[in-house]
Amino acid sequence: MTTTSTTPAPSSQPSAASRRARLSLGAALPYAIAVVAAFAVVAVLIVALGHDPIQAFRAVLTNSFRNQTGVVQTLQKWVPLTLLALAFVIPLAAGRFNIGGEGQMILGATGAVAVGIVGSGLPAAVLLPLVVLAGVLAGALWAAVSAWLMDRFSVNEILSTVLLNFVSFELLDYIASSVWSDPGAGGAVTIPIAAAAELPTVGRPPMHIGVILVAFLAAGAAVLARRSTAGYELRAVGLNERAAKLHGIRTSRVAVASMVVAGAIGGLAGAVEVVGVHHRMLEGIQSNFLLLGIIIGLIARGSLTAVPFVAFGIAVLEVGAGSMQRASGVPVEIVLILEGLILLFLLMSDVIADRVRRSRTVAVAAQEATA
Amino acid sequence: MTTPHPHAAPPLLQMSGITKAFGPVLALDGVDFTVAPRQIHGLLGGNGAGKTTLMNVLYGLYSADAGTITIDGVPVTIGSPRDAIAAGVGMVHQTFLQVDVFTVAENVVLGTSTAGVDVPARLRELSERFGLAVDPTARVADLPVGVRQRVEILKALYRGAKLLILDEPTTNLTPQEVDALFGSMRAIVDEGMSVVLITHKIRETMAVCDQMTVMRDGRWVATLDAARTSADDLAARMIGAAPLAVDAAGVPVPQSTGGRTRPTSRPGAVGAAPTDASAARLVVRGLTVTAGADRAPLVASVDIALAPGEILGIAGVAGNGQVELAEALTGCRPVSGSLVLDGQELVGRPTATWLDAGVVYVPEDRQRDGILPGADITENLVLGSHRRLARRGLLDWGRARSDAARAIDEFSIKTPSAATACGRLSGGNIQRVILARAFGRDPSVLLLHNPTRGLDIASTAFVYDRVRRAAAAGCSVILISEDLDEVLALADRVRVVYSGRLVGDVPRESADPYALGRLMTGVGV
Repeated sequence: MTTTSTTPAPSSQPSAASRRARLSLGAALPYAIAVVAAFAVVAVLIVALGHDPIQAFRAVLTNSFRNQTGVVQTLQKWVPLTLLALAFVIPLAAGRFNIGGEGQMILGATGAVAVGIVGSGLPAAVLLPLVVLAGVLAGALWAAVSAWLMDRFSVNEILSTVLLNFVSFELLDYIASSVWSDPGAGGAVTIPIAAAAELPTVGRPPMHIGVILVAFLAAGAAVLARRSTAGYELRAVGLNERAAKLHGIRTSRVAVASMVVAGAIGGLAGAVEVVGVHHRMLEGIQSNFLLLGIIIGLIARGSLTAVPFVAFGIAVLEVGAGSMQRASGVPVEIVLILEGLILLFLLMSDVIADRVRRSRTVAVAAQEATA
Repeated sequence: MTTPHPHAAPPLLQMSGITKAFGPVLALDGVDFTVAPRQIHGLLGGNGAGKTTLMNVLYGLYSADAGTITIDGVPVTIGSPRDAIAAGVGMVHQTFLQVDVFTVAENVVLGTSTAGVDVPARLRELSERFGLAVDPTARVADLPVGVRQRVEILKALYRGAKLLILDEPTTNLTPQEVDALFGSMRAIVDEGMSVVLITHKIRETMAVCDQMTVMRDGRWVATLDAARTSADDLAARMIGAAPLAVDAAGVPVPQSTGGRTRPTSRPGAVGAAPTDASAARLVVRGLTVTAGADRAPLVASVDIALAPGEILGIAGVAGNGQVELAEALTGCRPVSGSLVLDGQELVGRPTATWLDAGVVYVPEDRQRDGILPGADITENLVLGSHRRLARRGLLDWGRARSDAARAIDEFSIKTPSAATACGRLSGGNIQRVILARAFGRDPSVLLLHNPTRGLDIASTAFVYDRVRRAAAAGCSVILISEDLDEVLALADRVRVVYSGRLVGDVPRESADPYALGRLMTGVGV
């Protein structure tokens, strides 16, 4: 995304290479400006709150890299962030808005917990795949409800996905406090899943292998989006649904599929949180991954290739937030403000860049006209 | 220019020397237009004649570059629809400006003061007086088109219009609704007001108008009393004296931009009997597009037989079902009837199957239907054939890029690179991308709808040349165009679409533009 390095240009076409370098520089510039501007505004806020911004930023930015624990925390946080962002950008490519990532995640967690508890006694080689599959299917089904309403009755998918989130909260509450409630936990928490259903870990401190799985998944999704016919049809529908339809693409099928795939990914996020991190389901398991996923997706401008990288940056900020509060007394919420501001400034720089480009085009056209 | 039509009464409306240019295009060129009191005045003309533009000037939607308007002998300046309404002018557009969720009464009074007015009573009175049956409490969204039109007329009358302009009001109406509308127009005139009927349908002007004005190419052509003219006379004036080069015998001479001069000299063309069913590769029977319950079908029972290498031209005035016909013939909308290509029935199959069978569509609205504006040229060129380019679900972008480079070269697409977003190209270059894609599919049936609209001469000649070459190679071509010259320049056979039906079927050699003009305006159907 922010690469400015260019391979040595073949002497035959130096202009193409330099143009590419200029293009990627032009693409990186708005990001740099947005990040700097967001940090600047937040610095003013921190000063106004009576704290030291330099100390706060140092805590936020270095926590992830100071020791092994920070790295593992960051990578495990990166998993649901990446998945929720993918669950947002895949339907977005087809012009559909999936705002139900957290509901799909909760359903995924529910499915995983259910199988993980009921299936205790099965060997890990059977149980673990089953648990993950249950989460994926539950998330996909949950999104399929919205997709079906959208396709069959033209119900706005934004509304249906958001509203189903609220249903999922109640479902979580019911499961965690009535069905498989852990009486010793003192809250809406389920009993743990069978040990055989837990994700294996690597390293010390232990990191669940979901990180590696999701890295492969994100890479695969990025390649498919660029190279597969499915990815092409997805983009075609988002770019011009009528033209796509007239050229033989079954647009409503593509739109429905994009929602169901998003739901499956959201469900996977929930399942991984259960089998990799919590080993049970608890109230608040969805955290604010939905909102962060949308922010990541928008900062990545819908690019599946960019999502994992942006998600990593946001994961660093999220993990650093707690250490910032401890180190400098700045409330953790300031990090969410920072993330929102980065997106806001990025969108503003888009508007400005567009104006500059348009006025330049007009100037060029005027020159051509007078020439 | 003088108006050679004296009136006994002082005119209600007099527009003199109205001129309006849009950039380099002169839409109105010193037009004079006069409407007497108590008169239904037909304003006739083909596409781009300037009828609607002239009335939009009167209604304050456009400001004229030159000319004067007087109403009841008083010069008026109309800068907005508000001024027009104040001057007693009301206009009903082809698309209604209504708030769907409001009731009829709410829509009628919208923007007016209702203080001291018993709205429902006033509406009932207007409805009864003018035979415009409407329930004032009904929600507009629930009403059929014909009733919504009545609401628009009531809106104008409620605001005190003494001159009512109706823009192509019969386009979407059933015959019964048309009769009711004409009855209401009569009632309006009997009450002392006047009506201007903008239309291209000669039959209906003859049926209802007292006087008509014919326009062509932004100019006034003639103003005639209904009693002293005929449908043929009007059609001739609408089509004009010299729409294309016509030799002494009245046979149109094809423009020699392409390689061939005679349509029968091509290989694969069946010269003597082109519609012979045994030679036809495309056979269409009873193709119908319905518009919903109790509405006239958009495309009614179309039959076509087309041989390989044959070019069928379908002429017609815009809004007679061309888009629907084009989409019906290319598998882009649900239809009933039958369409058999090379022995394969295609009706009821998904669009992709039609594409695979070799049916290729070059739509009229390039931006909306033809391209993915945000995608680059390479991505646009593979649209529709992307599945052919794929191996195990992965697109071969390397091949797509080299194909694109070749297409850019072959079709002279002017672009910085193949990675330029298609939406940034000029109209002519967008059309070249669409044509490159269409011909790249090696079509068996190519349907072109207004393929040269908005293109410069070079691009137009290029399109004609490519179409002729495709036909010479055995492709069956259907050309739907509102430009009669274009149809006569390209087609082997000419048919006319009127109100969703195909009428007439003449070989190009014996095509008479006047006879076609009569068919296009609904005379002698």
